[in-house]
Amino acid sequence: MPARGTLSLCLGVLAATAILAAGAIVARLPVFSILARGWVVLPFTGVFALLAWVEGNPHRAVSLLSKSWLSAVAVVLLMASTPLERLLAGLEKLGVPPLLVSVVQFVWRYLHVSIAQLDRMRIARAARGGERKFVFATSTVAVLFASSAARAERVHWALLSRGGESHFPLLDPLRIDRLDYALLASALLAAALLVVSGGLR
Amino acid sequence: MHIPDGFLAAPVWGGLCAVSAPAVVLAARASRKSLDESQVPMMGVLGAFVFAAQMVNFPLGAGTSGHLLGGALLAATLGPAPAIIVMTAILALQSLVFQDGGLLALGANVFNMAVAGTLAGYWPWRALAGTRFRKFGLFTGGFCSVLVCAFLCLAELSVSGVRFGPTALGLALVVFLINAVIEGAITATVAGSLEAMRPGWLKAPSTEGRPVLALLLAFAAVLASAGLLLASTRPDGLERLAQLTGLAARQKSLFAAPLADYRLAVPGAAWVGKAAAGLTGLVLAAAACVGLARWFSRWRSA
Repeated sequence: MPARGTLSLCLGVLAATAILAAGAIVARLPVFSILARGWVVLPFTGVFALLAWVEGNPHRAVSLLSKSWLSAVAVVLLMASTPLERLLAGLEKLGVPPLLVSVVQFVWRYLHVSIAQLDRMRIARAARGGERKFVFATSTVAVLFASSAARAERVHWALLSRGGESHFPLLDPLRIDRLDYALLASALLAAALLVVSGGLR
Repeated sequence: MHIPDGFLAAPVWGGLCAVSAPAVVLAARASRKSLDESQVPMMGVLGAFVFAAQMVNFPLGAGTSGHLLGGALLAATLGPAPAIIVMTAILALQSLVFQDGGLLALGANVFNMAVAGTLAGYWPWRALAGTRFRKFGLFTGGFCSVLVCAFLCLAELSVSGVRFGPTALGLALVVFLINAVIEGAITATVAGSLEAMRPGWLKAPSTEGRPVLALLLAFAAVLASAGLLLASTRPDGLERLAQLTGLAARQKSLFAAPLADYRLAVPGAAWVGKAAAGLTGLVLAAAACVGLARWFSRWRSA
């Protein structure tokens, strides 16, 4: 029995990998680099897989690793083929609150600004011979908060001066065409097959 | 504490998605009501701040360091509903762009960190903001938020069939406890510096509401999540407790009927029943605690 289970697991993983690779080829993306990027989940998953292996359950270890890897590859493929603003606009059409969508867009827009500022502060502290101390880290975070709040105010004024609301418009509107319907249908079919075959276990 | 895909059983992540989605929609509606348009950039930029602040290493001596999670800090500065939205936005970006936490597990992560963690971080602050124990309220907020996240995360994993030995579970709990103390300390000290810079940043909620209710809610959240963790790792212990207290008969009629049907409907999938029992347990425990808190506060004010 375990051999058969392992065989079907391997077949399933191969099939899913083939589908994802096909998606990467259709999107004209580098297939191997997309597949390799799924390994970012390894540090967390690897620990649990190792535990399962030590416990004498290699089947579970392999299934844990392959499931989280496949899922990560799927997300990498999605993000590599779809710009975030289009994805968010689509989610908004599907009923995600507009406030949440706007906040995600703002976080994404200002994330790199905040990180760059943090880096400048770190270099400035090191240049003045700053030590690694809990108090300094605290004040770094507090100053970062203060300047972020000030930045938010400036952003709000800039938006007002452009007469706009805090909403990010798309240049070309979203449409749904035959390819999308085909994709949706095949995804539903795959999900139904998974449920029927008991593959979710 | 970000759960990747492949760990949670389908009913667990599905059920938690079904809980998180309306919670986030409600939070969005509440923040729309309490905030004006100028707050949207504020929420977004502070979200970026939390993202960056999570990268600051807080040295703890002996070569170790911890970092901020930020839910309690956001709840104290923006209020609970906007904090839930901002934390959800951060988690969504982390799972989409950084593969930190799975996309299917996003509902579970949002429930643990954005909804339960933020609320557990807010209630102590709300209860103690107007009193002498202001700082302690901030510390307890940070502490509770991490503790609740950790308990929920471990409980969801073990309900889904990820086995921890007693050693691993104990080790994880110690690590999470230390993290909770760190989060409390960081939240209290950062908020203290913010207050020194500009007192208006910390939203002091009107405590003429019901401070006892708020504290009890926080306590209930911690207790419910801890109880869920215990119940999910030791189902036998729960049954024995029920028998000892003579609740067994009533409990059985409460639990057994719907779950028996569930097992009949999906033969051979015992974990469905287990997962459903775990989730039902969470809901029941939380409802009992909230009811107790309501009753207690009414009794106090009467």
